[in-house]
Amino acid sequence: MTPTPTAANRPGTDTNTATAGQVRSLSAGQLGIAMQQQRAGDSPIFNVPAAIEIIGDLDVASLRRGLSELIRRHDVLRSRLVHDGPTLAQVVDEPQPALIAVHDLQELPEAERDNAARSLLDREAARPFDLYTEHGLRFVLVILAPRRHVFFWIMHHLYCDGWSKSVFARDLSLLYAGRDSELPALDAGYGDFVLAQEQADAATEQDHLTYWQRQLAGIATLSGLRHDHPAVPAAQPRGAEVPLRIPATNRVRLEARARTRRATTFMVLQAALVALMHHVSGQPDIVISVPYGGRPDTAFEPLIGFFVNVLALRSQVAAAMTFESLMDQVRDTALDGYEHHAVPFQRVVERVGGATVLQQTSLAFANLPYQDIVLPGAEIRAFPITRVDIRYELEWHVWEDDCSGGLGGRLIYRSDLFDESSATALATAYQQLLAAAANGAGRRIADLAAMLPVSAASLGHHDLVSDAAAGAVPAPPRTPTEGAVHEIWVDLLHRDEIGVFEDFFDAGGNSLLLAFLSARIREDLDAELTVQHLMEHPTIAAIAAAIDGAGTSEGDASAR
Amino acid sequence: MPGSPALPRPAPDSVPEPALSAPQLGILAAETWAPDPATYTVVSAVEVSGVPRWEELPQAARATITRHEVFAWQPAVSPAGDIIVTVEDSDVLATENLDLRAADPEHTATAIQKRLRRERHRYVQVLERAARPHTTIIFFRRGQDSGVCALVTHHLFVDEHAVDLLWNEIFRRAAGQPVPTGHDPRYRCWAQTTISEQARAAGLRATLEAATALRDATLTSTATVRRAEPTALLRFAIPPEVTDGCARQARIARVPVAAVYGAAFGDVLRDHFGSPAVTVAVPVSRRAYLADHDVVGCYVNTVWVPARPAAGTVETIRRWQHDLQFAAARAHADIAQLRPLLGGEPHAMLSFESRAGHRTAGPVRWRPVPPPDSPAKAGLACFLAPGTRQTPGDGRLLWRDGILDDAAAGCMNRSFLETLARYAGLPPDQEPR
Repeated sequence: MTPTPTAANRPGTDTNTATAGQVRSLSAGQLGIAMQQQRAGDSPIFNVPAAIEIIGDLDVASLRRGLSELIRRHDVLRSRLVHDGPTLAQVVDEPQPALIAVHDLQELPEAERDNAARSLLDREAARPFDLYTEHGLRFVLVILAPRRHVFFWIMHHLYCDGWSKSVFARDLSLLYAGRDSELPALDAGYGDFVLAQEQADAATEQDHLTYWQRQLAGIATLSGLRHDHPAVPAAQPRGAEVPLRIPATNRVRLEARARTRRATTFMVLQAALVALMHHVSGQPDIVISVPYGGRPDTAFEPLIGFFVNVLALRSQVAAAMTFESLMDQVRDTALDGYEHHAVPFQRVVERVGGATVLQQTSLAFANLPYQDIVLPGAEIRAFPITRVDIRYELEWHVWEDDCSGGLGGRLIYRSDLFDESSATALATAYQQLLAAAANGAGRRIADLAAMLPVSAASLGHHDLVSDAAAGAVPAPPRTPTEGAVHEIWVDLLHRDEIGVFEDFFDAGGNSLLLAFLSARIREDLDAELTVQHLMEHPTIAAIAAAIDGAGTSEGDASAR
Repeated sequence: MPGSPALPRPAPDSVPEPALSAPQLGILAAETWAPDPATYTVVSAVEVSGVPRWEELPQAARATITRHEVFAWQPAVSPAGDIIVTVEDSDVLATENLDLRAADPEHTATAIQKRLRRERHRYVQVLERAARPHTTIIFFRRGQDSGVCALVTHHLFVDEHAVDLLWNEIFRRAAGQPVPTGHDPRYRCWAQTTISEQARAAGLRATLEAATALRDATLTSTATVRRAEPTALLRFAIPPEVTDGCARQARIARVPVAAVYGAAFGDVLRDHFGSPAVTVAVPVSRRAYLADHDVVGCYVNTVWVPARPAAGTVETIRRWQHDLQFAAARAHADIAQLRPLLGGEPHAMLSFESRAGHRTAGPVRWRPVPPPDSPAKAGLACFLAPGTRQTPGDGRLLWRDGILDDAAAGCMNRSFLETLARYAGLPPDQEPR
């Protein structure tokens, strides 16, 4: 989808006025990131990598020209950090031609090239930026064959947000094709956004800080989620991901629910996450960090830059509450938070403490126009970067999925803390909660939670698995569906006791037994789970959740 | 599930005389080609503990084996040259008890291994009535409630899945748990569906489709049959980082992990034979329906899979999986017809085994142990047991004289592990040495 034309993105001449050598302040959001990056040291934690596979003709000269023009057009892409007295600031440099590191892998045997490219780009994704000496943007072109390339680019989060990705794609597509004149004119620059923030009353920032101090008082003492594995200080936590999918019918119902409570879709998503975190942590006090903001004026829409800040939204939840009343509370808290957004997140963290709690769970909802890069004469495919760096223990990302009409998403989890089975169970539970909320938001939180495939006890099941290895009892089924699936596993795998988080293949399964498992689920439980689905979700907990979720999620193709 | 066309299955009463199934006939045909007569002897051994009354195990075994009709089958060649089957209720099973409790544990392990190796090289003369019983179970008792149990029989009667069913039934009996008790003639019904007129027509269609798909594949020339040709063997371990990496790669490609190993093996073969495309024989199960899940018998056919390179690693893996699925969907094709149609043989055989996870029935706990050395079912064969998070992976290469020698096999093994490491996405400095 192309960003909708507005007065701000009409084609025309740029009138933004960034001058080379100009030193300007960081925006509140940038300052928050810069402070966190300083604390993280030489870490790729804020690297934002992306790559595409280009099949067909690639004009490297046009690509280089397009990228150079992109850098000229968006001054944040030629900015770097400087110290301006005691404070951090940024300086905009002269535009320079884009540097593309080219790696020709054609010397390698054909079968090795993809893996070599993946390894190379994973290494690139992990290479930290020196934000004081280099600009926050790098390009790599990998040649796999004469008509097969991978184009990789990486930006530092200081200079881009979710919206920027679409702007990058749109601008590069037009510039590569020589259609420069169709680019929307830039009537404002990132400096204007910073200036607007600076001109806000200094007392306002203090007022906002006081609000957060009051709002988040005592969070440092909150206990968080149980982990499957003990937290060990790591230089750079790594993540893995589980997909999320909310069918179109449920999306429509969720949006309708939101409207009846004068809330947004994001608020419904947040309320469901609060309910889930309450259920799995056993805590009544839940804090979720959310990126907030956006371009405050249409003049900023055609710009690449970081326009958001992170807000820590706190909710008080009780099992007896209805989902609707939780939604109301989430809505009020969010609106209050939005009113007090003008203080960098990191400053809030420093003031109120509780960094551990604030780095546990985040929720980002991208209801943004999205565009892929389009290059004439070439087919573009995704080329996933397997390295995932992570800033929170659990990062929930949800977006509008134009293809299905529903919502897509992914849960990125710290793989040193959580097992895949736990993450899968959490993701499934979240989808089930949303499905249930879509179909009956008046139900009590306790009733909604009762059907979920995870609980406070089930996280941290690593201990249970260890116990099992030592001869103790594995995690038993917790729901009737888990019990029924467990019975089938016992029959197929010839084992009396199987934990609901055990992997089918670790437990002695093979592809023939997996096919029988699929058939038995169809026969005994009247549910259709494909072998592919079972292969990707090979635990009793995940299978039961898919079966139960299917009962409340119309149109879910993977599970009936 | 691939492997068999959906043909009408007769009721047991309507099949008065059993007949060998298509896979069984295939095995007998292959046995005549095999250089070693013991090629199709099956030895399945499990390590077991927690048996309440060890001395009752033979009884549990007998009750189990005699319940499954296929063990009573006695095939023979009729004067007309056909293979006919009679059901003989006597001399179905021999059992042997070896009490090794007093022996030195190290010596015990070696003695068991030697015995299993000997059994694996014993020719089960399945066509000879006088050679009955064709099935033996040996109980090696090592502790009060523990030891090793080994089933020795002919491949005609079991496949890997059937053996798993048998151990489960035996140990459930031993644990006093409920088990089915009735006579089970269901295999004869399935066997009938594989040799009916309809099945033959479907088999011919599948053969032609498989031959068409393989028309561009490279094959080796059909080997000269030389009886008692020696086989050599090389065992190897699959490092845990390779196991993990292959599992990760399988998730990326969205295929079973075996596809990663299959594609990597194809790479090694192409390199070894200097051919752009090689063909691999892969045994697949024809247990295509839930009704076959708990039936004891042999459902395995070998399919021929072209191992062809693609643009990248993931693509090569997916291509292997695609070609394997295509072949597995035609597992009812007749290899005996395919061979002359294509005028050659696959370059190697690739077979997967499972050693992951233990099994339990009440207090009884058992797990399979790696099979003993055996004659190769092909000039070059690779048996792989991919690892899991709990179980290390292992494999073995078997070859006949003239195909490889020790040095070449060592090279091939190194190359395979390096290729696997590359497929697993390990950087070169982490590749196993």
